[in-house]
Amino acid sequence: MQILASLSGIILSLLLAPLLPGIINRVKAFMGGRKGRPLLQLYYDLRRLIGKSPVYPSVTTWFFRAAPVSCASVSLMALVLLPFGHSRALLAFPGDFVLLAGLFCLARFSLLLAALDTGSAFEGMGAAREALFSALAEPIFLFCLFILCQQSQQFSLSVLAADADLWEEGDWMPRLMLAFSLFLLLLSENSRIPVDDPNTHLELTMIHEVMILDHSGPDLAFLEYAAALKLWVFSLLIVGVLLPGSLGLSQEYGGYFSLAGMFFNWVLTLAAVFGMGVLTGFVESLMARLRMERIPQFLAMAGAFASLAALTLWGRA
Amino acid sequence: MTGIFSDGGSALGAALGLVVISDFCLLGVERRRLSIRLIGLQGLVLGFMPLLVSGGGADVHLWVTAVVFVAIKAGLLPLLLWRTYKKLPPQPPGAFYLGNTGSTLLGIVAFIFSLWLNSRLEMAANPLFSQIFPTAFATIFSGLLLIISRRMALTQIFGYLVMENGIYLLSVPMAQESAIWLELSILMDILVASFVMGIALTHINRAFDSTDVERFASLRD
Repeated sequence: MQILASLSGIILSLLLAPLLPGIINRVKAFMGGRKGRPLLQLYYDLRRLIGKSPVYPSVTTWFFRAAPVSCASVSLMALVLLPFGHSRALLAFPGDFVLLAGLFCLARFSLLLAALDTGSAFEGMGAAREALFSALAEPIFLFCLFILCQQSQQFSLSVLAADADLWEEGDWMPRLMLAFSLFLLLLSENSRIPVDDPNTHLELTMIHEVMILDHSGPDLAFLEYAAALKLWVFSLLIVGVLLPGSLGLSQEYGGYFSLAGMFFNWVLTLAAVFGMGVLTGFVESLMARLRMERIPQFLAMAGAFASLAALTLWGRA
Repeated sequence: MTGIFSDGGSALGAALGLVVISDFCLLGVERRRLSIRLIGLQGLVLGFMPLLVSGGGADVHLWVTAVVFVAIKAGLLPLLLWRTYKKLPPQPPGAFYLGNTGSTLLGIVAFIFSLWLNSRLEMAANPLFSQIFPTAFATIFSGLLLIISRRMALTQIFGYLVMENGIYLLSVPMAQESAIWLELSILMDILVASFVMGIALTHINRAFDSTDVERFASLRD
């Protein structure tokens, strides 16, 4: 039953991940007094792109073709490592959080190589920016995961699941700080405002979008889908930090591995993940883009909050 | 069904977390619009604090107090700041004696100091005090840091308000002993002070064409 619960979480994530950018766009449109794009726009885009045949620049090598597959498979692997709400991950072992951080590094590395492979100065510029900001963001991400895993002494991401009894009653302060730090990283790592604007195509400001300009057809579909999955994974991670350890209702129905408990877990987790999408939409509507030189300070804030969370947790111990 | 916060202590912990987050965001941001929103958010959380410390046993007196605090801290003061901000001519953000990252780092040091000081204090008669003390002390430090690290007069007023929020937070554990009324009177002083500062800012701006306090140094006979 536990494997079924984990598998169902992965399938739900794979099916619903493209809905998250749609929710963010609708919230932004609502805040701006517009109707906005359809909620399922990314699904339509993916279907359209899959139906096309890819066009490859003549100067590119296999690096260029490998990047979309690499990014999509890494995002899928991340889902296998991450617990879905209160059900444990399909694959859990001590140290899996390092693998998660490493997988995202691998995806980024292959995307950087693909961008450089085109020989375009334009994409090289985007790759340089991505490399700089990710070099600052990745240690903080790893530190956040380390704090989480160290909390339970198991060093596995599945400690986020309810049955691991991760947090004490008065731990809301460090949890909020850790979640906020991860939220700042979500904005940075998923190219959202105030770090990057996924809708812009102005060369002076682009980071992620500029690197995938030369991809087309199914390759672009893979990259777009991988980006949506990455956003989903980050949201799921934050939800895992914030979701309460045990909920009475689920226990009444026979725990999380009964059918009713599993359904309750799905509803709760999905509502929380979509809530993260709404929150991201609000933040994007209320904030303007930061100047490029200010982004390291933004990431320093994420590091500061992670340190504060660690201080509060470890200071008490 | 057990709620997300199973008791008042968890809700208080979350509220204190939000206060610390807003403190550090205020130290880290350079845009005044965002700072005013953050002060409003901090005021909203702090306004509900008397209810949270009561642990579910809030009477009418505490509810009225919470409503008054929310109205003043999350409504009136941010509105006054917003109106003052709108009256001032547009200025580029980022006039500091100490930059955002430096202020944030000093804020972390202040938070560590608060935690250390809390561990050194003898067990207080009111256990809530030791839970609230590090946040309150860190908030006071953040306010002081804002005052000394920023050059613009308006941003220094933000620091003054944050510092006042910290002092208010220290008095919250005594909410049930009616000490909150003392705080209300202090809040009224702050309100008057904000009026005065608003007027003073307008005058400073009119006299010097800027609210950069650095320019006061060049005053001559």
